[in-house]
Amino acid sequence: MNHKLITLILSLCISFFAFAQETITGTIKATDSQPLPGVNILLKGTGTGASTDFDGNFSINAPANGTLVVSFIGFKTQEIAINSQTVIDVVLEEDFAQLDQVVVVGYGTQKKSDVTGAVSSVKMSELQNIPSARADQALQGQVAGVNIVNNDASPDANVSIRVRGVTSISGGSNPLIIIDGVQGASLKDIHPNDIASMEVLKDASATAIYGSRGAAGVILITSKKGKNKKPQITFNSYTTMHQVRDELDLMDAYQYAVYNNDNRAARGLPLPFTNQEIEGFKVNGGTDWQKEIFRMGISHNQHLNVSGGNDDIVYSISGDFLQNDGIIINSSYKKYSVRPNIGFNFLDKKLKFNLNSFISLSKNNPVPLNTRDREGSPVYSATFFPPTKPVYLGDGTYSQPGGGVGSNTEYNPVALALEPARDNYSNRINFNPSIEYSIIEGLKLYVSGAYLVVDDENNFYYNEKVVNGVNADRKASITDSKFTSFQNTNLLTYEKDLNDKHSIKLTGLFEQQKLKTSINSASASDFLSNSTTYNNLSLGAVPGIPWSNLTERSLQSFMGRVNYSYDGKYAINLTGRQDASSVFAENNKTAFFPSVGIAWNVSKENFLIDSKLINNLKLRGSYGEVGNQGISPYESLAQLTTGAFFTFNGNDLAPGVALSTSAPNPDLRWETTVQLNVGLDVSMFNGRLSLSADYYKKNTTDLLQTRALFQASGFATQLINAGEVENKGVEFVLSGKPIVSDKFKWDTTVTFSMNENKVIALDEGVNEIRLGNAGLPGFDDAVWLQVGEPIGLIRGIEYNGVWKSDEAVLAAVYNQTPGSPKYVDQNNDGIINGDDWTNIANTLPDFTYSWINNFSYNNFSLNLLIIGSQGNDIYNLGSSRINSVNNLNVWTPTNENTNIPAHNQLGSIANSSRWVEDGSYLRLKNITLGYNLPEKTIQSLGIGSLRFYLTGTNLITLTDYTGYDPESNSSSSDTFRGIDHSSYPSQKQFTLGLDITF
Amino acid sequence: MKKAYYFLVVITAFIFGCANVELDENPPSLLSPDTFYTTESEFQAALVGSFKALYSDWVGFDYGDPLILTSGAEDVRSDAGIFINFDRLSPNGNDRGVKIVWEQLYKCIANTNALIGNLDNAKDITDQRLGEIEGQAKFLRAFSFFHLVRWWGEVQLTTFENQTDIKNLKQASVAEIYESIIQDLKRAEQTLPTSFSGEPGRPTQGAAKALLAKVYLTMAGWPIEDAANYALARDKAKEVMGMYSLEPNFADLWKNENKFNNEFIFTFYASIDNGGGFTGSHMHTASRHWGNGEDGWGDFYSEDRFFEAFPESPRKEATFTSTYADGTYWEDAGTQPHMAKYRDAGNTVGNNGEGFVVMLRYADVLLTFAEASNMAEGSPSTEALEAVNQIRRRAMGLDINTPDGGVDLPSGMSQTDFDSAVLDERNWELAFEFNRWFDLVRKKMVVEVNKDLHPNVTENNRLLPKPNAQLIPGFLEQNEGY
Repeated sequence: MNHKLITLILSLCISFFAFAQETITGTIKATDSQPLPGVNILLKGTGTGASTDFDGNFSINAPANGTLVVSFIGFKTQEIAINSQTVIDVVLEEDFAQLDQVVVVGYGTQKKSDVTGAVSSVKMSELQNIPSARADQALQGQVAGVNIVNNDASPDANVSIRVRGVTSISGGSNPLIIIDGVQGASLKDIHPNDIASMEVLKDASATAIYGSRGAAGVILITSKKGKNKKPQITFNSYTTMHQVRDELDLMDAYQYAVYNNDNRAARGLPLPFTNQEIEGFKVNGGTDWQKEIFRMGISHNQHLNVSGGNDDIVYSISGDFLQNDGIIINSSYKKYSVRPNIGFNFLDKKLKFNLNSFISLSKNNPVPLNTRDREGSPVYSATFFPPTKPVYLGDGTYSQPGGGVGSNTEYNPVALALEPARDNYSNRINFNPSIEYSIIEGLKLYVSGAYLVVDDENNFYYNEKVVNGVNADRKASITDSKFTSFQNTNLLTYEKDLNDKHSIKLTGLFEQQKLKTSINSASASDFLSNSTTYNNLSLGAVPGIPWSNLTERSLQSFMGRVNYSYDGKYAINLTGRQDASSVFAENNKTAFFPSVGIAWNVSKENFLIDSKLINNLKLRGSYGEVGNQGISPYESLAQLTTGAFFTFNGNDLAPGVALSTSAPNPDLRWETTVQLNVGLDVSMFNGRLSLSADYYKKNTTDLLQTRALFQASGFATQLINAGEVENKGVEFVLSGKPIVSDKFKWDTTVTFSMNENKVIALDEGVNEIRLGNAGLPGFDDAVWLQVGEPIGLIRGIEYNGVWKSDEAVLAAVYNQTPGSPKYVDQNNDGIINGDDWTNIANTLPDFTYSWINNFSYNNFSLNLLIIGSQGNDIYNLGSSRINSVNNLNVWTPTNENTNIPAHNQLGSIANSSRWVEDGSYLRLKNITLGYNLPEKTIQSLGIGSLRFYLTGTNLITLTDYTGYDPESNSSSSDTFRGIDHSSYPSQKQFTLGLDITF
Repeated sequence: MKKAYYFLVVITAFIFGCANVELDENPPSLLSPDTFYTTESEFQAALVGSFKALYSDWVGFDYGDPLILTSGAEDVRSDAGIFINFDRLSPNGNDRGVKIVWEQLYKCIANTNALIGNLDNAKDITDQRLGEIEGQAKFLRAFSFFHLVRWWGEVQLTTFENQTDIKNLKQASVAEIYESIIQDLKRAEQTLPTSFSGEPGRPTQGAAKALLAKVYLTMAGWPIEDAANYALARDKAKEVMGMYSLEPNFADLWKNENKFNNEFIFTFYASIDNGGGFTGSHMHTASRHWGNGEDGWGDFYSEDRFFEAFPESPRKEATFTSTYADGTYWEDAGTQPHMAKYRDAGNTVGNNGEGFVVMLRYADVLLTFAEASNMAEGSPSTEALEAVNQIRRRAMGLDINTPDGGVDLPSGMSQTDFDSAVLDERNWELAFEFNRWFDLVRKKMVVEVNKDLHPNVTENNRLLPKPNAQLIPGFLEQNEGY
């Protein structure tokens, strides 16, 4: 009572001095007491405003008798009379009925309720839970319909992203990445901490505005901009230890020697190892090549951001440093980047000037992957270089292949990893000025320019040590490439609300893009000294032939869009884009891509508006055409090939010119994807349960593909448009908040994506196309396309184990003896030949899923991310060569119960289902335990917030796959996906991290 | 406030103006076939491009695929999965060798067609120089068709004009193809010089004549079987005699240091300039044994039946690698005897060597002469006998020109005996040199020599299956039996 009295008296006193400006501070939280960043606080009746920082804190100058209007997307707006208070804490209530979140949709934003397409907004808090300096890796498992695969797990990993399946055979199925409106960016280039919002556009209604570049989906990223507030500093840092997730079980030296002797004996050949040697291996062991090339990898990342601003200028400047020393010796990646974003306001914010920029400098020391021979992959070599050989011989040189065991063409894994120098530098500069001008109310002009330069310098030096050779084996090369892109976007938008019922938004666009790539390369060999490596090519006695190339491409586009909504209930979205591209052939320079989308917010109808159960129910439908301009410059033109050398005297090379192996095509055009999408968004129980479901059907026609020409024409192939691929599927996102109490909270999300890919047609009269070799001798013609089957089709003979002794009679029919591989005679003609080939593997998954769980208890949080893929086959070619302990189980007359053929079987390595494995997996991708320092401690430390966390990555993987990792691929091409030659192995990772704000 | 508007205008104009969109393509780094083929250096470059199709990148005569197509003969054998079907006389239209060799031969032909078809556009080239270019192009075209017709029989006879519409080009008869080969070689014979200074790898007048002689000899046998060609072959071979000479020591022929000699008439030479990635030779790697210190791949080798039948002689020693680098004899190593003719590739970089593959050599001309004149004249002439005997003497390490009763074929042999003796001599002398298979075909001996070892052999084996993917119903038909 006393307290209240004192307060009252004090307020009265203060009111005497009223109308004087007071600084009012406070914190704004949601009902679950999570602080809300970015909440708008406006002094009613004025233009004065502020917004909350990341911890929900605000401060505003206001008269003591004023009223604050606190508003935030998705929450109910509150008006609070100041009444001379100086500290005002507000709890905002979520507004499930309205959910008028603003969504970035490309060339502008839209109210979420008006969105007609399949647009997934990525929850940034989830993304930032993953300790990764790369947005693409962090995105894995976050969005339904987006399948992210780590093709290799190297320090500068190659990640493939597919939105709703594979839409193209050779035109590329990478989604278009747009950062702050700049098209053709890379997700590698943006640190998750610098992302303000991220949207994935999946259907035609959403992507048709990007016309000939939108068919494979679009990922829109908005980077963090400064806010009108005091400078705030955030610092994030983590250190990760990496260890090989799972080594392969390979033979030791003793097993290897015995195995090889048995093998030679069975074939009647001289034995490579003496009994004495074998006994020696038994005692002393040999070399474990995996141990020799693997190490504990360490990576760390520091990220610093300063942001703030006032009425005239806002800024956000981030810097980040990444160092990743990979698990293979001598592999590392290092990157420095800076992202300064500055905004200026003029004319009472009627005119805004923004300058977004990005600079990064990186150095990559890769190891070659999936390749063989003297410059090949150390991982690949480690799986079958003889364990009987030492790393170094007595004279200090590397042990060499040969000696009657092992491959003659695979070299010492340690030498392959350590000796060749590969120093690849990449500098990227992006400079993106833009102007936004409100001409009259509702009418806005936006003009932006984006200039991107990528400067790559790849240096290579090969000394003689791998092959224990001579000066002539030394070689060096320097390849410089420069990519520049210029994009000019001019946008006019007009927005008008009529009678509070009709809301209309018109968008008109004119856009120009010009891309230029130049490459030049110089090389030399036969170096007299190793000391200068690639830094002095003139020391090579034999200069290489230099080469260079320049290509340019241009795109000029018009786009129009109409958004109309009635009473918040019905929305329609019409778009059309016309693209004229230089890469389209002369007869088809211009393409047009229309789309239509409609949405019905059922929950706003009278019969549902008062429902306590259903807070939001929305139905969406869309249909449209989008393109893929995946043609390289000049591919439609007639051209000659250069670099066709021949010698007439056994020494000098005469430069030649030859007919191109591919014929011109004056009709070459884009691929067109027609997509139908229907979707449903429901939110129930005051938002504690929500479901988003989509069904889509995408048909891509005019596929870019190389048609094999009759070779008598002199041309091997021609790039044409033909055939059709269909992707259809369903996506679900189910989110819930099963436990919402003061102390303990649990929210959970399940995503599920099922995509069915099918080749509907190929070229006229063509039912199947052989695409090529799986990457090893003996595996010719493994990869196919066939009408009615999905992309990623592998063919071969069906392997049915080994002929047993009691099957000798039947085996003899096939000219085989017990111990021979038993192949299935599909046509029962008594001969195993090409006619018995059948489809043995499909490398695309049936479905993928993820399960995200966030628990918090007081200041502790626990995040779990489980991801999985089901039904994808892997063609494990690594296993055809490895010194696997499985091969010890070889067939002998006394060891019949095996599927490993006998020692004397030539030709048992062939395209067959013997190498096909199920690549399904379920993986605990990420588990993070975090701790936020209590408020008291923070205040005493004088900082804004402090969080520690511990993360485990890839700790548990349930799979039957026996290679290094079910995700690894030897090729990022969709048609050659799922073939594993032992890529960069994936790792278990343990991360310790720290986030501080000041 | 006006400043802000100026700012707006200037920035907008600047941003807008920076884009310079050009929708028509003008490739800055590429050559267009529409404007090429005018100057001498352009024609020379096109000629180089035609040669390259036959010898580069592991798909031409630099590697083993063409040789493997002859492995149905006794001299060549392979057990490698990609090659084995040819050796076992069960090839199919999807086999790598069939596909690759067909493609490379036609690639060469298409390039020479483009060159020949544009000869009229030549500017500022003397008739003589242009003739040399034309002659080389026509030689290559004839060389390629000669291989096509012998391996596959009826194929499409392409020209600069008709190669753009292959789908409607009917396969030519064997006679038509030979007629075209003869026309090309006759023209080449007229326009080519007897040598190109410092460039022994170019085809010369002698090469055109030697190839023409071989073409006539082939036409005397299956499938043309027109005996009138024996006289033509004899006369053409005779024209070459005296232009070249036999290397005194047979073993020297296969030494890389001696690859420029007066016996080789047309040879593909390799270079390791630039690391050999462009025109390195690969036959040495492919034909050496993989083990016993030989450091090869063992892709193919000879056959024990051929080795056993081969007459003991210095020639045999130079023809086979029977003892490996570590001293192991081939039988003890559990292998077949390997080929020696390709093992010396001089200096190597990686798998690339500076070796060579001889396509026409004087010994072949002498034997062609001997066979053709015997068949044309009904009995061996003194000159024919001498031609064979020079080869036989050298094989035994004797002086070429000194008669030796123990080695020479005697005079007075019957036509048949002499013919058979010459055929054997070709078998030994030209082992692994793309010879025996074609001899078996033209002499209709494919079944006879293979039936014991490979009972599946039929007369259809004389021709290979055409690549399945190249067949065009009604225009390019598969050969009988495939």
